[in-house]
Amino acid sequence: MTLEEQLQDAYERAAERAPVSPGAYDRFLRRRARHGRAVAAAAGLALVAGLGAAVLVARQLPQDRAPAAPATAAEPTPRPHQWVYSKELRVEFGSRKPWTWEHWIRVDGKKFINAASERRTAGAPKVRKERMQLLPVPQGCPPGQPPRIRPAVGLGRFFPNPAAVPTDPDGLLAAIYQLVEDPECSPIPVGDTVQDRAFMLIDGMLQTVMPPEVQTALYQALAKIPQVTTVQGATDAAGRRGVAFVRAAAIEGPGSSDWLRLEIILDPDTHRYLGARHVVTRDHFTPDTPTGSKGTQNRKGQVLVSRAQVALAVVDAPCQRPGQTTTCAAYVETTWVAGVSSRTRP
Amino acid sequence: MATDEDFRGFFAQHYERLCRLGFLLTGDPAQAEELAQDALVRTWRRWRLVGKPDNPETYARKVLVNRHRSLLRRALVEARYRYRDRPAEGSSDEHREDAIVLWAATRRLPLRQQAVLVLRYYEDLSEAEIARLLGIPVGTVKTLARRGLARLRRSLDTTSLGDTLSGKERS
Repeated sequence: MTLEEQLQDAYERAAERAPVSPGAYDRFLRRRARHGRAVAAAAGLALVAGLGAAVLVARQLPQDRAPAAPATAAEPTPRPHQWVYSKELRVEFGSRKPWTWEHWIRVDGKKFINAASERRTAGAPKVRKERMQLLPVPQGCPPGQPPRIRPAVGLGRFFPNPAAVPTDPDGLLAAIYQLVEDPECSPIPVGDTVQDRAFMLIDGMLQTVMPPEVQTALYQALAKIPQVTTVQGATDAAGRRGVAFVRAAAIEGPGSSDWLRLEIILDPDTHRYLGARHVVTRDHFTPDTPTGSKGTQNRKGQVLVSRAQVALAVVDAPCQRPGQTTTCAAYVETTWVAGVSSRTRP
Repeated sequence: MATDEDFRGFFAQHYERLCRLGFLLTGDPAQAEELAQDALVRTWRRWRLVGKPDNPETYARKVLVNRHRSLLRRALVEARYRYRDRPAEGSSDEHREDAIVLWAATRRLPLRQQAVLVLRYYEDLSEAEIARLLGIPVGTVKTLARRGLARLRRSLDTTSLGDTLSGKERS
């Protein structure tokens, strides 16, 4: 008997003496109840019918993936005063705990509610209301050309007429290339090349509400961008598996496509957005910034950000989560800011 | 609710195994159950929030091992010394048994070596799986396992088990 075998034996026998006291499951239930906030959050995520007028375009959780396709067949276009609710799970490099980020954007893009972290939002969300930060129109836009970044969500944010968006992958990709062609006048302010900007723009588009045909066209268009490779069985921050579309991308500013890649993870069956990862592809040192930070050393293989979109839905009222009726009005802390009628930032 | 039933089944199936892993890591029955309960509550929360993990057992095990590490890192370092130097557990008639002596010897190893050996020889995980679970390079896992075994061998040389072991190996 070798030492390894002896050790296996010793562990087996020692483990047998680990007493399991009775009533373990009851104790578990009591303990679980103390985590009541998790229950509330789970209820918010329960993707059930009965939303009244709220239209659900929600991400299917893995176990109820099967009936996905018919559910999205006929979605009415969200009305301007409805809200798009999104919930994202994020794991960032250097912090061990994932955090959830929920936000609501009014469909016309004029109001934005930000509720970060599970702890805050599971019960009564402590809501930070912020005006929709409208990005300044890029300076280089030719005179008379409509601003490329518009106050709206969904496809309307990128295309003036969402109904006319091409649903064939080649046509859609051509339209996207046209949008991002001029770096001075592109909805994506970063990106080292046209293809780079298109790739990152699609990442953003996929996280919005859109018709399933466009979603499928985007899925196919991604693979047509040069230097995009696909990886089967990639895992998002929530542990769901999908197909990753991988390409170098300048996520951290100009030139960063030399050392960073973006992995967009999609469900191969429904073509829906699962999440994404920002991965360092070679050692890189970012020197001191004018604000006085000491610079950052990144090592090859680091996952700077891993995220998962765990819910996306159109709801009728602010602070409303899919399947719930509670709105901002129910929360004492909430005080409303008057509506914003025009661009607020120069 | 379906999820609850599902989880209850999972709980019944894996609770004991997790307790045992907890016991091998801590050497203490109370702490072992505490760890198992904690790991399952956390697994349950993940389950409810974003759906059943692809492999819930692996998930729960990972939570348990990592939880053990962070608890140690905080306040329970003290407990380690308390349990590390106490005599081998068990009734006195089985006290001389080789397995008991060996188990007691593993308890005196550095914690990371202990964890790697438990995962390798009790949970039967591959080096790559252990590396993923602990978030350390595969090379480090190999080194920890090798050093752990070497240290066990050395410490056993001075005990009767060392003689039986080498005798058995010769035959």
